[in-house]
Amino acid sequence: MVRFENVEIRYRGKEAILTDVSFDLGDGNFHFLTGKSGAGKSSLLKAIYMGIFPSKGKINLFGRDTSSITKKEIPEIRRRMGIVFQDFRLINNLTVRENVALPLRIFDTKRSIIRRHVPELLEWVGLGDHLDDLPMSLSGGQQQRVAIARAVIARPVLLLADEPTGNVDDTIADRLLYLLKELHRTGTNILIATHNENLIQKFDYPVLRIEGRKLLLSD
Amino acid sequence: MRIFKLAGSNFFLGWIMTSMIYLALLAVLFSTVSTLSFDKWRSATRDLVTIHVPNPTERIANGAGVTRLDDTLKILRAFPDIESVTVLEKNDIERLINPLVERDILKNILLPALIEIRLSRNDILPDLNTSLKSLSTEIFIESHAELFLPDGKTFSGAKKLFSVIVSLTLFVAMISVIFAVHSGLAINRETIQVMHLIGAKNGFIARTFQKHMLTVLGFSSACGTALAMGTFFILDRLLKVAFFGDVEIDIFKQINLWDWIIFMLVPVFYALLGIIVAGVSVLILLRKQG
Repeated sequence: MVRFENVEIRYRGKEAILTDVSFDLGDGNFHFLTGKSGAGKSSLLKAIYMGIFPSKGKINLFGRDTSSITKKEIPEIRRRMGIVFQDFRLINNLTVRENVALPLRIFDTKRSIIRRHVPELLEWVGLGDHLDDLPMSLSGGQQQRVAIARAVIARPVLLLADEPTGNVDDTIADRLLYLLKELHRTGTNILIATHNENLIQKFDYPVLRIEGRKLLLSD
Repeated sequence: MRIFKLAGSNFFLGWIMTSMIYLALLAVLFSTVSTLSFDKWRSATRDLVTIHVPNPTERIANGAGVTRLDDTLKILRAFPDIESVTVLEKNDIERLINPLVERDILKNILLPALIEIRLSRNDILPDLNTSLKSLSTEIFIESHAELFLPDGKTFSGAKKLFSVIVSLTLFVAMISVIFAVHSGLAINRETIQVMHLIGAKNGFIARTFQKHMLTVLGFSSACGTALAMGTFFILDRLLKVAFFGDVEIDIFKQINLWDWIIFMLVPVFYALLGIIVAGVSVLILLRKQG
């Protein structure tokens, strides 16, 4: 599903962040991606969702080499992914319900389906009472759950989460992880970038570790 | 669902579009009314000719008691393609020149006879002129169509001016739409980025912008039209009451259904064109931004 072959990532005019990165994420996976702050976790996720392109090497997504993907094809590939951003990136003038419904609207889903599915999912993430609230009126943990709900509402094949527990306390972090575990059970592949070692130890999933610009795989 | 924050640009665009639609409607209405008035005037005078016969009672040399007027009428009645011949009464002639000449002076002037004729064809005028000149070189023909030729040019110039005004309002309106799109995209850059990452195509973003525009432009069209209608109503009342006294100047009566349809299509056209321009601008700008 996602394959990196000797990938180097560098921002224009700057030193490489990651070099010679190779890994293969097949179907049915749940991985943690860890490393120190600034190690390149977010950049690696960005490369997966084609926010940046590698300066060297090859990235293969869903059987397609990203260098051969045209700008027009990018949205179709991204629709197979769900992304949870570190800073949530919720749209502040939309309600919780509207934020979560946004991917379905973008994918031209029938309104009747949107009306049924969005409250169900928000109920599932424990936000059934906040459907018509604006994101700014919610706590960090609640906003994080809205972001997760938005990322998974369209049933993506791959969920990329960048520090999904970065802004919440341990209890909520555990709850969010159990939520993602449930999602994985329903067939979504998950890659979580986090620097929270306690969290990684609590859950028995393979870990991709970035050390000194290189990627190491550990179980 | 209002995805984009566009309150500021909507306010600016709303006012500009309302003003431009209002101005365009005024220009279209004035152009329509002036064209209709001039056409009406021209069609009434197109085939009308006045023949001036000086010394109408003068007896001609070889006719027994026949006056110059009689002889002129004889020629006119025998001439083909003349539909009607009317000799204006003395009172009517005096009434025509009364504003120019005092009544006392009129008594001492030997007025020419005026014959109004309606032609079925205008091209007989040179032949008619030759025939009448053979009677007397003093007789002359005054074509009403030629008389009003300078006025026709004025009306045509006014029509062009109104067209320029409409074009300018359309230009300003569309530039404002493009400006609003530019600022809207800049303000909503992060939201658009999120939408792209979710998998939105540029077309979806353009459609979303267009929906926002539809609300603003629809409201502006309604406001501009209401303001223009209010202005017409006031002008209609003023023209009826203040300026022309007993002469009937009725703007609304002069405009037929077809003209009303064109008039009502102006705001619709502005709104539709605005929406199209907004969509295309979003697509071009997003493509440029990569």
